[in-house]
Amino acid sequence: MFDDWLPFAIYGLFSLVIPATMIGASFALATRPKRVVKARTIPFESGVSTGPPVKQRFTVSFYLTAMLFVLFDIEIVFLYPLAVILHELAWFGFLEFLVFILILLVAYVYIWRKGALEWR
Amino acid sequence: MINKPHVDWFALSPTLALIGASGLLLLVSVLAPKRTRKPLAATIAGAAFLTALVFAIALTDKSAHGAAIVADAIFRDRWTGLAQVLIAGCGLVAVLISYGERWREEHVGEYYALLTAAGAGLVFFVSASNLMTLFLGLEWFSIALYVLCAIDIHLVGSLEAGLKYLIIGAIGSATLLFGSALVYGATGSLGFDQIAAGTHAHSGLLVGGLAMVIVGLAFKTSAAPFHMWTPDVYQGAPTPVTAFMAAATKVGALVVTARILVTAFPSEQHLWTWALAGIAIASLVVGNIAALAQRNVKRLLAYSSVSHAGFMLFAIAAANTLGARSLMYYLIPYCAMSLGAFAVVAARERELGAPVTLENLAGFGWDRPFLGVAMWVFMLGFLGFPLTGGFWGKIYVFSAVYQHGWWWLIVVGVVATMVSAVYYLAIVRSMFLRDSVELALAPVGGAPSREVALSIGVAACLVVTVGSFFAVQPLIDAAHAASRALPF
Repeated sequence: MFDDWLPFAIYGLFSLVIPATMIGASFALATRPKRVVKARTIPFESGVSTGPPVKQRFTVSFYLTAMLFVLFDIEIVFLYPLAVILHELAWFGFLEFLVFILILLVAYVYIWRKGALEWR
Repeated sequence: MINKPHVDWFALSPTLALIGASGLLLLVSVLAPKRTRKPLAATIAGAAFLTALVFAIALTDKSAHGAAIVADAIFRDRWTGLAQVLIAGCGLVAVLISYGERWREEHVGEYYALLTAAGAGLVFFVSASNLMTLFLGLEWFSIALYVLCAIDIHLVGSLEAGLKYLIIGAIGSATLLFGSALVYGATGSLGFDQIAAGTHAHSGLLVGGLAMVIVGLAFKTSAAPFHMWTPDVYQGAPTPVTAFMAAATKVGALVVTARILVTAFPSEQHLWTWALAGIAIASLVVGNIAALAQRNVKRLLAYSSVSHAGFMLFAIAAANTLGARSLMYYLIPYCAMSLGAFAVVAARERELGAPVTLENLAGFGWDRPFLGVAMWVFMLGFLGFPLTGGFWGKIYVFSAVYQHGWWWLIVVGVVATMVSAVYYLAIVRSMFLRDSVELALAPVGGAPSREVALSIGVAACLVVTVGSFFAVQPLIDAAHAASRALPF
């Protein structure tokens, strides 16, 4: 009975211990100077300083363009492994490749005609 | 040398018809002239669901001997086929309900593209035969539904509904994925058949994984205590979307739950039957009691769908061939009643321009007798009255549970049915038995439009709801043939 549950118990133990150590260590290792300096009052973002207060604004077009770029870029990445084994897959692989490109093309026509590529 | 899988194109045809139409609809939504977009998009979506329906019927007919195909990724059998028929039928009615909705011009093409994509995902989901295709199908239809819920950003609560569904749906998906990982860890295989073959004693990993898989799927069936998104999302989403979700998603999730439990985990049957019985009782209690307090009709129907999830989980918990048969049968009138009820709500919503409550439903039955009588029938069907398929559905579910030896579940079911009479009849009462003096809201913009498409949809639902009572023998035979695909 115990043997049945042992892997699950070990697994569960690890999933408890890892976050517990993370939280515990940040308390145990934290040095707490008494003096309150300005740096200690700013939000803690995974160790990354939030930097000087940024006043300039970004247009939302940057995000849209960046998102579309990442999407299509990732799709193109899929073509590399296919290119490596295209000879082995022969016509089957080529047709699958065409279907994949066709789907991408539909998406491309859609965002193009929708005006997502215009800079506004 | 790479082994190329043999692809059974015929088995994939319902999925391909719908996903192909989805791509075409995306092009229509940007390339077709503005004025023709709406009728063209609706026609293509309707034709796609009709094509998928025809293919699914042919597939059910020609798949008497079930088998896993395409490198054991999907099943081709009658259990899958019949579920696909139901989903395609739901999609077709959903298109009819959607046509009259006042969609904003720039979203109408995308709406139908997403609806067909969700349909394609569901049709694929019910054919899943390993944990990978299961998760792929789940995400496929879920993502389409998340966007559909939020598609009308000018509707109060629509964005909220989309966000809530996204976050809670993601928790469900994560749980399912985690459970799949544990099951894979315990058995070393992904295919349902291989998991069953590789199970030795019951290891803790496998049981933990099974529990998480059940929870992940219960989020999609909206069974308590995993139902908390249901009322908000059903209320906030555009009504045609709610109608499609309430019917088709429930078919997909329940059919797959039955399949994976029976096929992959037969040796854990003593555990999951109890788990499902617990979830089912919780759904009946929560769904029925919460529905009593609702004034908003969409919210009320959402809680009603939670309680119906409970009834249908009884059928799976019974873990016998009669249970599988009764699940498949129950889904037929349930889909029709659900789509029909939300269609009537949509009609009232369109003439009022406001959320439908029990108060402003007053006089609707006299105002538009056809829709009023149809709603009456759907409510009696939900309740399980004779002359509607809901009656046989409940009888079959109870007899399956009785065969399993759990008579006390029948007691719970009967009590739940009696409680549900209060709120189902409250809808009938507010439609027919109120003075027209109480009618506070006048319809906006003069006489309501005729809405031929919606009326056809409601008529179809009415025919199925009443027809499934009289045609119970052929339908139960079809369900029987489907249930033979499952290894009991």
